[in-house]
Amino acid sequence: MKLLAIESLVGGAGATTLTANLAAALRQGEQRVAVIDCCAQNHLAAHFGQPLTEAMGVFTDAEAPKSLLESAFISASGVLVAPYGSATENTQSITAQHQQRFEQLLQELQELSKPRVDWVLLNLPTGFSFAPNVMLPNAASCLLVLEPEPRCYMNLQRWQARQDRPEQLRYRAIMNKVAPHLELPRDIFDLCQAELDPEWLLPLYINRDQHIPEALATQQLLFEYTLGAQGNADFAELAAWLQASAEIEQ
Amino acid sequence: MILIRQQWQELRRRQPVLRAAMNMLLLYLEVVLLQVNPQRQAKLGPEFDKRRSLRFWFPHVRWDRPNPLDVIRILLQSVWLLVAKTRIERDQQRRRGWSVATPVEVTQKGVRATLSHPLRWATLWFERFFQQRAQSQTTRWNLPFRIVLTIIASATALIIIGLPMEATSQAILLLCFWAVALWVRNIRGRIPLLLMVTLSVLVSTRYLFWRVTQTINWDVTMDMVFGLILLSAEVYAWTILTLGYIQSAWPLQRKVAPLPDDVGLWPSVDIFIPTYNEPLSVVRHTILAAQVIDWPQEKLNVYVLDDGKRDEIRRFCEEINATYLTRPDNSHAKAGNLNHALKYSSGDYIAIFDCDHIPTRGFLQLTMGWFLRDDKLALVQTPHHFFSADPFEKNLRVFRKNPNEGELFYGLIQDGNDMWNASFFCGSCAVMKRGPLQEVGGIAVETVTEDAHTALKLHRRGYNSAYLNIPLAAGLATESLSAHIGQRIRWARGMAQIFRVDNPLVGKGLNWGQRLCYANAMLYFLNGIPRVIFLLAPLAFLLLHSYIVFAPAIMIAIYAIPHLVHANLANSRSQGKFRHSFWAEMYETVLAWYILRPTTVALISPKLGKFNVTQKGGITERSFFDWRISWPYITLITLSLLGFGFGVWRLIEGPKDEYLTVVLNLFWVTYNLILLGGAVAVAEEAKQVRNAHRINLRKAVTIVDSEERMYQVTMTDFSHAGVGLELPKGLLLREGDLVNLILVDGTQQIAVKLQVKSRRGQSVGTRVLFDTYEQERAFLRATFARADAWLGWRPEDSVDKPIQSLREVVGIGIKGYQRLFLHLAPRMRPVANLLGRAWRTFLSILPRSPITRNEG
Repeated sequence: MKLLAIESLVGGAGATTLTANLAAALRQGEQRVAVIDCCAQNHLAAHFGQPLTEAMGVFTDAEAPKSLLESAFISASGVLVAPYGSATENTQSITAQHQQRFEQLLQELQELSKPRVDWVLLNLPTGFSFAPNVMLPNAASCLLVLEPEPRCYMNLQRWQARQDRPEQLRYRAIMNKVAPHLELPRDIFDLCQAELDPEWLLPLYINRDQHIPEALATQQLLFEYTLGAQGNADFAELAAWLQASAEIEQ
Repeated sequence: MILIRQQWQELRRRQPVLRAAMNMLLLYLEVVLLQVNPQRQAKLGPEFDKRRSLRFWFPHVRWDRPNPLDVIRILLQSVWLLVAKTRIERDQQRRRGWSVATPVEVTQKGVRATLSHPLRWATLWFERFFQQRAQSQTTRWNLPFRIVLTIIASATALIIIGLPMEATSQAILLLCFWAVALWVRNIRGRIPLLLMVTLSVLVSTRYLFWRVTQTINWDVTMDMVFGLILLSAEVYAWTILTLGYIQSAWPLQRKVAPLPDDVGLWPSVDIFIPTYNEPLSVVRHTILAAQVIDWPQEKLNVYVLDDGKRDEIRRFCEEINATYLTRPDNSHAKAGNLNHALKYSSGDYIAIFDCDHIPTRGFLQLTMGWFLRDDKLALVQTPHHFFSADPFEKNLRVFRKNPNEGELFYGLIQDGNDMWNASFFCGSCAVMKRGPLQEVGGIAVETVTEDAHTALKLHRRGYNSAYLNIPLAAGLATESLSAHIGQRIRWARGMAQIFRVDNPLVGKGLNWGQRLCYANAMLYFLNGIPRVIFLLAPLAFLLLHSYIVFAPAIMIAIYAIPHLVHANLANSRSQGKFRHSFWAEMYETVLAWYILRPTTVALISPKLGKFNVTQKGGITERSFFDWRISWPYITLITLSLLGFGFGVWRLIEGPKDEYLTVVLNLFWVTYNLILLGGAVAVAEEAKQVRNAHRINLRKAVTIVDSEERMYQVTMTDFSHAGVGLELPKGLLLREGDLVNLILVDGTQQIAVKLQVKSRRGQSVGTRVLFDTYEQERAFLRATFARADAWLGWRPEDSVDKPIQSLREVVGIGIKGYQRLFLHLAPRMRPVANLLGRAWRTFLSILPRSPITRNEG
């Protein structure tokens, strides 16, 4: 079971959307995929068609079922989705209860044998991995989602500065919402390409494709919404890259 | 039964009775005869097993549109399928033939393979031995061994050539030779090729020896004169044949030499783009692409050398930051232009591109490596590659179907020259070293083919040349037959001039390989007179009743036919990939008359004549027949037809003992008529309305529509002005819509605007709208200047099949007469059309291979 956390560097860079569509792309490559939403906004499940009124979820305030898997569902695309659940307080602080439920869920996923889960993708809220008592396993892989916009460049510098504490996660970054036909995004993209360590920034990127928000508006994944979109090719490429890469540990 | 009825009703709902019945029949035949499992087939989708479909086995029968003739088609095809081998089977057989274990393999499999193909094993073993010997250290015995071997070989050859024989033993000897040639024909490796070449040289020399010693009638003056004329043409042909074999005996097939990792060690390069009167629309792409060749920018300077002194070009160069040079006079044309620029530039190396040759971005990185390995290297030449159809391809409609005219030279001859260190400069797509070039006084100005002459001078000074057989730049082919002929006249005249003023056979500094290669390159262009002699020769007998070959017809046949067959076999083996059989004769026939005079004049008085610039990049608004250029062909055709008529008359009225002679001559004159028909066919200029040539490809690209949706679409073609796209289902673009095309160039991306111009289903044609030169350069780098842009254009797997090739040439000849007939008598068009239709219907009945042309 490979664990990959996905987090936006700046809010709105598209971590949730990327998690959902990446999961679908991995699934299309015959992988068994589970996604866990750790973000209190609880948007991830919407990508997979969960009704907006549904309150059930892993981290919901309500009493948890005995097996946390009962609060998850399998989407039409075949991905096991564990939503955050509706929360009264839209908070990002991690409580002991969060910690406990997260570990229990991972345990339960690990124990699933038929079928075994190949990939677990975590959708983290922005800045989550720097929280003092982060619940992620040590040395887990984290994909940092960047968007070529001015705040990205500023935050990268702050992010660099915060790197002085003991390493917990192994970060890689990916450019999302790349728009070569617009001048500023293209310039920032080129700037990042030139300045960032090529070992750190992934050699591939996701284009800014308006199909992606359109798909969400219909509560569908991108490949369900339309087949000809560039985004499908991008996500498939990312999925293939992840599968071939040896970095992410079992 | 109920099922059948249901299916019938289903079909009837969509189709008329007859068609539905036919479809039903097809369906059930497939199930019964080919054991089709419809469900399985449907599951496999488009990759379903084609062999289980009648459509595969009967490709020419349209099952959904039955036709009474289909009955004959099906019957014929069935018989043919049962009796003959299909192309797939033949290919399989051939592939099995190719795959042979290496001779050293002592496994069970290896031994079995060796035992089942002893000949193949022997040749492979011999080739290994040969290569080992060639690389091993010289010993004391080496030289004597060689001398003894040479003496024995020459003695044997002399006996074979000179031994007089009567008809029967001559026939047996030649049949043996022929058997050997046919036997080794399909065996891979160079030893079988050399064996075939040796046989061909032996047989041809024997023929020539026989001709010289026994077939001239010295008693009758007219016969003697004509006979000697024909004999001289044959001696010429023999010389060219032999020199050609030497030249292409062992093509070097040079690979790319890598550059050092340290970019600081890379030398500086000046790029010269000489131009005279070509429009900016042609020149601009070359200049822009030259600026973005992958090379350190500070070590790359682009010079535009404009002998036309045009303000338009000057302004363009200023805008894009290229150096623009002109000179006060235009002395010595292109050579003078380049020499002038040499004075105003300082790079270590000079890359020269004709103004329509767009370099690919990898040009310098792939060519410069050899200079850093070899200090004496002064020239690296790459092939001239054309993305537009030359007049032959255009007017005969064979573009990219057969190897084109230049392919033989750039695919084989230059590579063969390279083996002898004799590959020469061809005026463009080459890099030269400044030092040596200045040492020989710059580009040669004495002749009109300054390129070959410059290379000759470099070789004389002891410098080396290299040929890299990878197309790294591409340009426009000559657009019309008259322009093509004009260009060849210049080459022919120039080569003849060099032969006179700086003969490679004499003078200092060349080795014998170089002398022979240069001599062949120059002598080749003297083929005008011999070709015309061959075209007229049969008429000497048919019209004038002159025995120009004084021998019984049976002896002529027994000597001449093996000579021709062996030459064809050996050439087909050595050059077949680059030029199919019988095409060379057609190319030469087209040019013969036109290069006859200039070469003769140049040989007598090399100073005459001036440089003419080849016209490119124009349009031909409508088809027309070029009468001006085709009058020599028509004259020759008239004479030949007259001869043919006389021949038939002699056959009926003449003495019986002349039959065979008449028949031989009739064959000859028919062959000549076919070649001349081909020449006439090329003279009908097909229309060409498009100024920008489209290049087909299939490549995934990204476009962004006005709603910022991105799509992955397929680029199906590109030109300087636009691209063709194949859109996925669900994407609708209307005429006039603007979209962005995203071009990826390494890590950089750039977008250019496209405007939809036309649309047909899911295919759209667009025009590119450039805002900046940056975009135009990026577009070029993604299209014409892509590093791999022209890979796969060469005839790498083109196979020469002499019989098929002959059929093609005959077809072209017939087409020529058809066109001529229509132009002479336009009213007869309906009759011609009717005949054409009847012919096509007849062809459609003939059986054919299950693989269609585009699949194979």
